[in-house]
Parts: sequence; C-alpha cells; structure tokens
Amino acid sequence: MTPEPGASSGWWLPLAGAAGFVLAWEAATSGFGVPAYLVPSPRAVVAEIADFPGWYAEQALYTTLIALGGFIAAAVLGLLFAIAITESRLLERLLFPLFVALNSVPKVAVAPLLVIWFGTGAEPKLAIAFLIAVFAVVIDAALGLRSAPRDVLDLATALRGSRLRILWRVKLPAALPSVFAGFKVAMSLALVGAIVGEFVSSQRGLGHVILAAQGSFDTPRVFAALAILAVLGVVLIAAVEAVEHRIMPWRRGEPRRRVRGAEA
Amino acid sequence: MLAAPEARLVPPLIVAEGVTKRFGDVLALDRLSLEIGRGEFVSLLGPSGCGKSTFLRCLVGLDHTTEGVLTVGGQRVTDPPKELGLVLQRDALLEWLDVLDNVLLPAEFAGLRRAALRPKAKELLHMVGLGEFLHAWPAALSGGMRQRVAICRALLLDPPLLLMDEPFGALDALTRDQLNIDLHRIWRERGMTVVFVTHSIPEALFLSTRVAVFSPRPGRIVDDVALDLPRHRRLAVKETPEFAALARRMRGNFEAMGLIRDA
Ligand SMILES: Nc1ncnc2c1ncn2[C@@H]1O[C@H](COP(=O)(O)OP(=O)(O)OP(=O)(O)O)[C@@H](O)[C@H]1O
Ligand SMILES: [Mg+2]
Repeated sequence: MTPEPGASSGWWLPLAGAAGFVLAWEAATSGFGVPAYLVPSPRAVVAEIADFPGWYAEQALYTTLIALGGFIAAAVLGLLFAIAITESRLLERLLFPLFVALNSVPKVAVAPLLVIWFGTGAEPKLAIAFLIAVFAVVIDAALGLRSAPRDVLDLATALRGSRLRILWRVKLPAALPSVFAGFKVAMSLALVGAIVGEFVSSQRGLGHVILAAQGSFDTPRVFAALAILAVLGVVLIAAVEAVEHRIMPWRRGEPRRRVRGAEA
Repeated sequence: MLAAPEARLVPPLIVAEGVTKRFGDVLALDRLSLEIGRGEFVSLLGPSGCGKSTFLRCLVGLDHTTEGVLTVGGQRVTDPPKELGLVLQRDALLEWLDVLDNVLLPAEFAGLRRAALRPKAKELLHMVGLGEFLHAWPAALSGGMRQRVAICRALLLDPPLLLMDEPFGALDALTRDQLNIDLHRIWRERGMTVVFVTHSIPEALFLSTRVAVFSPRPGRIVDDVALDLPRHRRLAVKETPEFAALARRMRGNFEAMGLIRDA
C-alpha cells in the first residue's frame, strides 16, 4: 500500500520516463526525417507554444474549467446517486438499469443534441463532460459503499447507530478508496468530454484549437494542443490524488493529529 | 449444578426458551433453552457450525429467532438491546479512526458527548497496556493489540452485559493467555454479565462461572456445568485436579458426540 521511500518515490522517475519519451520522439523525427506536417519535432512544438503563450494559456484554462466543472458535477451527483441506490433496494431496482441503459448511448452522438438544447456556450460542454464522467463515479462509489466489512456493520448496528450515522461513520469511509479510484477515472474522462464538447461547437478551448488547426494542416499547432492536454491530464489527476492523500491519513500510516497525540 | 432458576430472587438477565432458528432448510438452533443470571460468566462451548454465533446474533438483535422466546432484561429482543458490549472474532475496528476514537465510538453512537468519556477511554486503554497508542491507526497494531482496543470499546459505557464471540480465536497462545487473565480481572472488578463463545475447553474453564456445552448442529445444550473453581483464578488453576476433572468432563462430552476420537 504505502510505497517505500527512496529511489522509487518522488518526482525523479516519472520525469525521467517523460524525458526519455521526448528524447525518443526527437530522435525519431530528426533521425528519420519525418516531415513536420506529419509529426513535428518536440522542439517545433515547444517553439509553437512559446510563440503564443498567452493565447494557449487562455485556451487551456477554458478547457480546464469545463473539465473541472463537469468533474465536480459528476463527483457530487454520482456519489449521491450511488448512496441512493446502495441505501434503497427499491431505488436501485427502479433507477440503476435505466442509468446503465442511458449510459450505453454514445455521448459523442448526444453532443449535437445538447448543442440544440443548450446553445453554443459552456453549458453543452459541461453537460458532455458530466455525462461522460458520471458513470465511473457511480459504479466505483456503489462498489465502495457495499464494501464495508460485515462485522463492522454488525457492530455499528449493535451500537444502535442510525442509518445516517452508519452511512457517515462506516460506509462512506470504507468506500473512500473506491470513490477516489472512480474520481480519477472520472477526472480524465471529464477532460475527454470537454474536448468532445469543443469539437462539436466552439470558438474557444483546446478542442477548438485542434479542430481549427486541422483545417489548415497546422500540425505543430495540433501537437502543441495535444501536449498541453497531456500535461493537463497529469496535473488534474495529481490534484485528485493530493486530495485523496489528505482525506485518508490512515492509509499513509502517519500518526494522527500530532498536537493531540502530545497531550496524551 | 445448574443453579435452579426458582431459587433465585432476582430474575435472570437472559432467558431463552425453545429458541429455534432456521436458515432456509438449515436448522441452526433447535429448541434451545438457557437462562443466564446477572453477574454470571457463561461460556458457550461447542463444535464449529453448531449455532453459537447464531445464538449470539439473535441475542444482539442482528438476527431473529424463527420460534421460541428470547428476552434480555425481561424485554423480548427485537432490535439491539441498550447497554450491551459486543466483541467479535475479528476485532471490527474502524480503520479510519485512531485507537482512542475507536474506543469512543459507542459514546458517539449513543449520542453522548465524546469529550465527557475521553478520560474513561484513556483509562481503559492504559489498563490494557495501550496507553502509548491512543492516536495510532488500527493498521499499526498487532492482532492482540487490536483485540484489546475492541474490548475497551465494548467496556466504554460500562455495559451490564458483555457478549463475546470467540474474541481470542485468532490470537497466538501467549497473547491469548494474557488476554484471558486481563478479561478475568476486568470481570472480577466490574461484575458484569458475560456470555463468551469459544472452542477452547481450557479457556472456557479458566474464565467462566458456568459452561454450557452445545451439540453439533442443530445446536442444543447438552451439558450445563457450574464451575466449582475459585473466583479469583491464576493460570496455575489449570494444573489443579479440579480443573483436570472438569476438562475431562468437557472432553467426555465431545467424545460422546463423536467429535473427538482418542487414539
Ligand atoms: N446467514 C446465514 N445464512 C444461512 N446459513 C447460516 C447463516 N448463518 C449461519 N448459518 C448456518 O447456521 C449454522 C450455525 O452457524 P454459526 O455461525 O452460528 O456456527 P458457530 O457455532 O458460530 O460456528 P463457529 O464456531 O465455526 O463460529 C451453520 O451451519 C451455518 O452454515
Ligand atoms: Mg461462530
């Protein structure tokens, strides 16, 4: 569970992996003379971003906000829905099959419909990011909420705990590892959803950048947007992991509340 | 040997009369009758799968009897009785609460102020030698330490009734002896009623004032022995002739049921 400290922790190994990838890419493009309109070299991509840093930052920010908005909606509503279907057999039988059926409709195919409903602003993109992300949250959170050990639940029942208290003190904490696994998948799916939304209709965002650059065969620009997306993905997942880390100190093995520990 | 119920002035704390429990086609308990008086330490001794846990779960209100009457403190058990301590084979600690908060859980669930019970929780943990681990996570404790935390949790509100389902079954022999000694002392000092499920003849004899022997499934009580051993026991009691005679009698029960065959 807890990775041992030393060579395997910290930022060095992931950075080395990324650096190796970029070097291999550079070697492939310059060494084999791949034309820049097919695959530009990493240097060309960096130069492209360096030429318009403000503009790229603006597009990236727009996409990030869409993805984050969709993710937060999916996290909150997905968790609530998971609680509803795990607490009530009736709600589960009534709603879960419907939810699975609706989820089976490809979201990409629904996107144009959302544009008709919500117009061309941020709303349809948020909606797509939400729709793509929510399934992972519901499935993983429901799994987690059902994973509380039987004997712990028995004990809580024997202590005459109310359902709300058992949910809050037992089922939700037991579910957290699964919930966060779902959150991480949902976070990267929300980013996909934001791009899909921008593909369908947009004047802003990285998805729009890619689509517009494709029209003018501006491959370095496409690659610049893709590179930014890749970095965004890593940063957003790392942010979810940081929250996970803070919220589950018992999985880190660190003593709790040192201040109070001293008073004992 | 069975304390005659009519001789008692106070009514028994627990009364089981013709308790039957079926799980579908499986008959787990068959017309089981048993009375347990206040302050007794009763061990339920029996082979695996005979329905001991089922009986305990019915007492706690986690399961319901199919037939028969089961009362605790004169009340028929429908939901979990108030003021009851429970210790299970697996310690059932909440991994996400530190040791002290785990012990304080019954206070929280009973809607009491945790701050008011914190000194009591600390005192209990000190008593079982865990004074230095108040803020450790359960994951950082050994099996024996975790089980001690579970016992402290069960004792927090001074329940008049303590139910224990093979609490030491998963521990090594040394730790088990030590926890037996600790539990015996706690019972002597507090005088609560204990119902203790175990497979172990020496453990049952060392701890109890009375041992009820279960038959293989469907569970019934085939022997019920009030132990004539000193109230204050040391481990050395196990080497006395009285203890040996009682152990022989228990073993005889299991041999008669065909559960042990001596070579
Ligand atoms: N929820 C259940 N559903 C179906 N059968 C059950 C259930 N709980 C217990 N049983 C059955 O009832 C019988 C008694 O089980 P119980 O757990 O009470 O035994 P036990 O005496 O506690 O055994 P052990 O000493 O191994 O813990 C077993 O045959 C078991 O298969
Ligand atoms: Mg059992």
